Amino acid sequence: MDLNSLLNKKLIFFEAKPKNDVEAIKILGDKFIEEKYIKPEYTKTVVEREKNFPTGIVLESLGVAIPHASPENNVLKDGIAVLSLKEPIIFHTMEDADNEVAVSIVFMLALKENNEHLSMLQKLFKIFQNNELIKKLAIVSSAEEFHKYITEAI
Amino acid sequence: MKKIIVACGGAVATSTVAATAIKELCQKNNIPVEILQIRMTEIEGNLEGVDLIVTTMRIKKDFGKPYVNGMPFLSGLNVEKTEQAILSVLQG
Repeated sequence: MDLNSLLNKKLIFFEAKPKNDVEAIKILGDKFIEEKYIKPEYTKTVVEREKNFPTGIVLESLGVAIPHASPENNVLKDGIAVLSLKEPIIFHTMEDADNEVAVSIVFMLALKENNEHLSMLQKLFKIFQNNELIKKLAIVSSAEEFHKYITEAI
Repeated sequence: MKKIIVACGGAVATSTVAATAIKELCQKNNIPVEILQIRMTEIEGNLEGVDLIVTTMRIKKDFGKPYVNGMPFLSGLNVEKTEQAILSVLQG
Protein backbone atom coordinates (compact mmCIF):
# COMPACT_ATOMS: atom_id res chain seq x y z
CA MET A 1 0.00 0.00 0.00
CA ASP A 2 1.47 3.35 -0.89
CA LEU A 3 0.19 6.88 -0.90
CA ASN A 4 0.56 7.30 -4.63
CA SER A 5 -1.83 4.45 -5.40
CA LEU A 6 -4.36 5.79 -2.89
CA LEU A 7 -4.43 9.23 -4.46
CA ASN A 8 -6.64 8.96 -7.53
CA LYS A 9 -6.48 12.00 -9.83
CA LYS A 10 -10.23 11.68 -10.29
CA LEU A 11 -10.62 12.48 -6.60
CA ILE A 12 -8.72 15.78 -6.46
CA PHE A 13 -10.95 18.84 -6.75
CA PHE A 14 -10.52 22.60 -6.97
CA GLU A 15 -13.79 24.20 -8.04
CA ALA A 16 -16.20 23.39 -5.22
CA LYS A 17 -17.07 26.16 -2.79
CA PRO A 18 -18.35 24.56 0.41
CA LYS A 19 -19.56 26.96 3.09
CA ASN A 20 -18.40 24.84 6.00
CA ASP A 21 -16.77 21.59 7.12
CA VAL A 22 -19.93 19.47 6.78
CA GLU A 23 -20.46 20.63 3.18
CA ALA A 24 -16.85 19.87 2.31
CA ILE A 25 -17.17 16.34 3.72
CA LYS A 26 -20.42 15.78 1.82
CA ILE A 27 -18.89 16.98 -1.46
CA LEU A 28 -15.94 14.61 -1.12
CA GLY A 29 -18.22 11.82 0.15
CA ASP A 30 -20.38 12.12 -2.99
CA LYS A 31 -17.28 11.87 -5.19
CA PHE A 32 -16.14 8.82 -3.26
CA ILE A 33 -19.59 7.26 -3.81
CA GLU A 34 -19.51 8.06 -7.57
CA GLU A 35 -16.16 6.28 -7.86
CA LYS A 36 -17.44 3.39 -5.73
CA TYR A 37 -14.99 3.83 -2.83
CA ILE A 38 -17.58 4.02 -0.06
CA LYS A 39 -21.20 3.39 0.88
CA PRO A 40 -23.26 6.53 1.67
CA GLU A 41 -23.25 5.55 5.36
CA TYR A 42 -19.54 6.32 5.52
CA THR A 43 -20.11 10.01 4.78
CA LYS A 44 -22.65 10.14 7.61
CA THR A 45 -20.23 8.61 10.10
CA VAL A 46 -17.48 11.02 9.02
CA VAL A 47 -19.78 14.04 9.52
CA GLU A 48 -20.78 12.69 12.91
CA ARG A 49 -17.20 12.02 13.97
CA GLU A 50 -16.06 15.46 12.84
CA LYS A 51 -18.54 17.00 15.30
CA ASN A 52 -17.16 15.08 18.26
CA PHE A 53 -13.55 14.62 17.22
CA PRO A 54 -12.65 17.34 14.73
CA THR A 55 -9.68 16.85 12.39
CA GLY A 56 -8.37 20.32 11.56
CA ILE A 57 -4.58 20.64 11.82
CA VAL A 58 -2.61 23.87 12.10
CA LEU A 59 0.50 23.64 9.93
CA GLU A 60 3.35 26.12 9.57
CA SER A 61 1.81 28.16 6.77
CA LEU A 62 -1.84 27.04 6.49
CA GLY A 63 -4.51 24.72 7.82
CA VAL A 64 -5.48 21.24 6.58
CA ALA A 65 -8.10 18.75 7.72
CA ILE A 66 -8.24 14.97 7.50
CA PRO A 67 -11.89 13.97 8.03
CA HIS A 68 -12.23 10.19 8.47
CA ALA A 69 -14.06 7.60 10.54
CA SER A 70 -13.91 3.94 11.45
CA PRO A 71 -14.68 1.92 8.30
CA GLU A 72 -17.32 -0.45 9.76
CA ASN A 73 -17.82 -2.19 6.39
CA ASN A 74 -18.76 1.09 4.72
CA VAL A 75 -15.45 1.49 2.90
CA LEU A 76 -15.25 -0.57 -0.30
CA LYS A 77 -11.87 0.59 -1.58
CA ASP A 78 -9.04 2.53 0.08
CA GLY A 79 -8.57 6.07 -1.09
CA ILE A 80 -7.92 9.72 -0.33
CA ALA A 81 -10.14 12.47 -1.77
CA VAL A 82 -8.78 16.01 -1.88
CA LEU A 83 -10.55 19.35 -1.94
CA SER A 84 -8.33 22.38 -2.44
CA LEU A 85 -9.98 25.65 -1.47
CA LYS A 86 -9.15 29.16 -2.62
CA GLU A 87 -11.36 30.47 0.16
CA PRO A 88 -10.42 28.58 3.33
CA ILE A 89 -13.24 27.22 5.50
CA ILE A 90 -13.36 26.77 9.25
CA PHE A 91 -12.76 23.40 10.86
CA HIS A 92 -12.27 22.79 14.54
CA THR A 93 -8.84 21.52 15.49
CA MET A 94 -7.98 17.98 16.40
CA GLU A 95 -5.73 19.24 19.15
CA ASP A 96 -8.47 21.19 20.86
CA ALA A 97 -12.09 21.01 19.69
CA ASP A 98 -12.69 24.50 21.10
CA ASN A 99 -10.21 26.02 18.66
CA GLU A 100 -10.77 26.79 15.00
CA VAL A 101 -8.48 26.68 12.00
CA ALA A 102 -8.99 28.07 8.49
CA VAL A 103 -8.47 25.05 6.23
CA SER A 104 -7.12 25.37 2.69
CA ILE A 105 -6.84 21.67 1.79
CA VAL A 106 -9.20 18.91 2.92
CA PHE A 107 -7.93 15.32 2.71
CA MET A 108 -10.83 12.95 3.31
CA LEU A 109 -9.62 9.44 4.11
CA ALA A 110 -11.46 6.21 3.34
CA LEU A 111 -9.44 3.35 4.76
CA LYS A 112 -10.71 -0.19 5.22
CA GLU A 113 -8.48 -1.42 8.02
CA ASN A 114 -7.03 1.13 10.37
CA ASN A 115 -3.86 -0.67 11.26
CA GLU A 116 -2.68 -1.52 7.76
CA HIS A 117 -2.21 2.08 6.81
CA LEU A 118 0.52 3.13 9.13
CA SER A 119 3.15 3.81 6.49
CA MET A 120 0.63 5.60 4.30
CA LEU A 121 -0.47 7.86 7.14
CA GLN A 122 3.10 8.60 8.05
CA LYS A 123 3.75 9.66 4.47
CA LEU A 124 0.72 11.90 4.53
CA PHE A 125 1.95 13.58 7.71
CA LYS A 126 5.43 13.88 6.18
CA ILE A 127 3.77 15.86 3.42
CA PHE A 128 2.04 18.07 5.99
CA GLN A 129 5.38 18.70 7.65
CA ASN A 130 7.00 19.71 4.36
CA ASN A 131 6.11 23.38 4.35
CA GLU A 132 7.43 24.09 0.86
CA LEU A 133 5.40 21.25 -0.61
CA ILE A 134 2.23 22.23 1.26
CA LYS A 135 2.55 25.80 0.00
CA LYS A 136 2.91 24.50 -3.57
CA LEU A 137 -0.07 22.18 -3.17
CA ALA A 138 -2.21 25.07 -1.95
CA ILE A 139 -1.69 27.08 -5.14
CA VAL A 140 -1.79 24.43 -7.89
CA SER A 141 -5.03 24.30 -9.82
CA SER A 142 -4.98 20.96 -11.61
CA ALA A 143 -5.21 17.39 -10.37
CA GLU A 144 -2.22 16.46 -12.55
CA GLU A 145 0.03 19.04 -10.89
CA PHE A 146 -1.20 18.18 -7.41
CA HIS A 147 -0.58 14.50 -8.01
CA LYS A 148 2.82 15.16 -9.56
CA TYR A 149 4.10 17.25 -6.63
CA ILE A 150 3.06 14.59 -4.15
CA THR A 151 4.50 11.75 -6.21
CA GLU A 152 7.80 13.57 -6.57
CA ALA A 153 7.99 14.24 -2.85
CA ILE A 154 7.39 10.70 -1.57
CA MET B 1 10.17 -0.78 31.38
CA LYS B 2 8.20 2.46 31.03
CA LYS B 3 4.55 2.29 30.13
CA ILE B 4 3.08 4.96 27.86
CA ILE B 5 -0.52 5.47 26.82
CA VAL B 6 -0.90 6.96 23.34
CA ALA B 7 -4.46 7.92 22.51
CA CYS B 8 -6.49 9.84 19.96
CA GLY B 9 -10.12 10.78 19.54
CA GLY B 10 -12.04 8.18 17.59
CA ALA B 11 -10.29 5.78 15.26
CA VAL B 12 -6.68 4.79 15.84
CA ALA B 13 -5.28 6.59 12.79
CA THR B 14 -3.50 9.55 14.30
CA SER B 15 -2.36 7.87 17.50
CA THR B 16 -0.62 5.26 15.35
CA VAL B 17 1.53 7.96 13.80
CA ALA B 18 2.35 9.46 17.19
CA ALA B 19 3.02 6.04 18.76
CA THR B 20 5.52 5.14 16.05
CA ALA B 21 7.38 8.41 16.52
CA ILE B 22 7.55 7.83 20.29
CA LYS B 23 8.74 4.25 19.84
CA GLU B 24 11.57 5.47 17.61
CA LEU B 25 12.46 8.25 20.04
CA CYS B 26 12.71 5.79 22.93
CA GLN B 27 14.76 3.31 20.93
CA LYS B 28 17.20 6.06 20.01
CA ASN B 29 17.57 6.91 23.69
CA ASN B 30 17.73 3.30 24.92
CA ILE B 31 14.57 3.55 26.98
CA PRO B 32 12.59 0.29 27.02
CA VAL B 33 8.91 1.12 26.64
CA GLU B 34 5.56 -0.55 26.41
CA ILE B 35 3.11 1.51 24.38
CA LEU B 36 -0.59 1.09 24.92
CA GLN B 37 -2.50 2.52 21.97
CA ILE B 38 -6.11 3.20 22.88
CA ARG B 39 -8.99 5.62 22.43
CA MET B 40 -9.29 8.70 24.63
CA THR B 41 -12.36 7.23 26.30
CA GLU B 42 -10.37 4.15 27.36
CA ILE B 43 -7.63 6.05 29.24
CA GLU B 44 -9.45 6.03 32.55
CA GLY B 45 -9.60 2.24 32.79
CA ASN B 46 -5.97 1.68 31.77
CA LEU B 47 -4.01 3.89 34.15
CA GLU B 48 -2.34 1.21 36.24
CA GLY B 49 1.45 1.42 36.08
CA VAL B 50 1.35 4.14 33.44
CA ASP B 51 4.32 6.55 33.40
CA LEU B 52 3.15 8.92 30.70
CA ILE B 53 0.06 9.81 28.69
CA VAL B 54 0.38 11.25 25.17
CA THR B 55 -2.68 12.26 23.17
CA THR B 56 -3.12 13.94 19.80
CA MET B 57 -6.16 15.71 21.21
CA ARG B 58 -5.74 17.95 24.24
CA ILE B 59 -7.26 16.42 27.35
CA LYS B 60 -8.77 18.71 29.91
CA LYS B 61 -9.12 16.07 32.55
CA ASP B 62 -6.28 15.41 34.98
CA PHE B 63 -5.58 11.68 35.17
CA GLY B 64 -2.89 12.19 37.82
CA LYS B 65 -0.14 11.08 35.39
CA PRO B 66 2.42 13.09 33.45
CA TYR B 67 0.89 14.30 30.20
CA VAL B 68 2.39 15.45 26.90
CA ASN B 69 0.45 16.73 23.90
CA GLY B 70 1.44 14.59 20.88
CA MET B 71 0.05 16.85 18.15
CA PRO B 72 3.54 18.02 17.10
CA PHE B 73 4.25 14.49 15.82
CA LEU B 74 1.49 15.09 13.28
CA SER B 75 1.95 18.75 12.41
CA GLY B 76 5.74 18.85 12.57
CA LEU B 77 5.68 22.03 14.65
CA ASN B 78 7.61 22.00 17.95
CA VAL B 79 8.66 18.36 17.60
CA GLU B 80 11.95 18.83 19.46
CA LYS B 81 10.29 20.47 22.43
CA THR B 82 7.79 17.62 22.59
CA GLU B 83 10.54 15.00 22.38
CA GLN B 84 12.39 16.73 25.20
CA ALA B 85 9.25 16.80 27.34
CA ILE B 86 8.72 13.06 26.80
CA LEU B 87 12.34 12.21 27.54
CA SER B 88 12.38 14.30 30.70
CA VAL B 89 9.36 12.39 32.03
CA LEU B 90 10.79 8.99 31.12
CA GLN B 91 14.34 9.67 32.25
CA GLY B 92 13.47 11.81 35.25
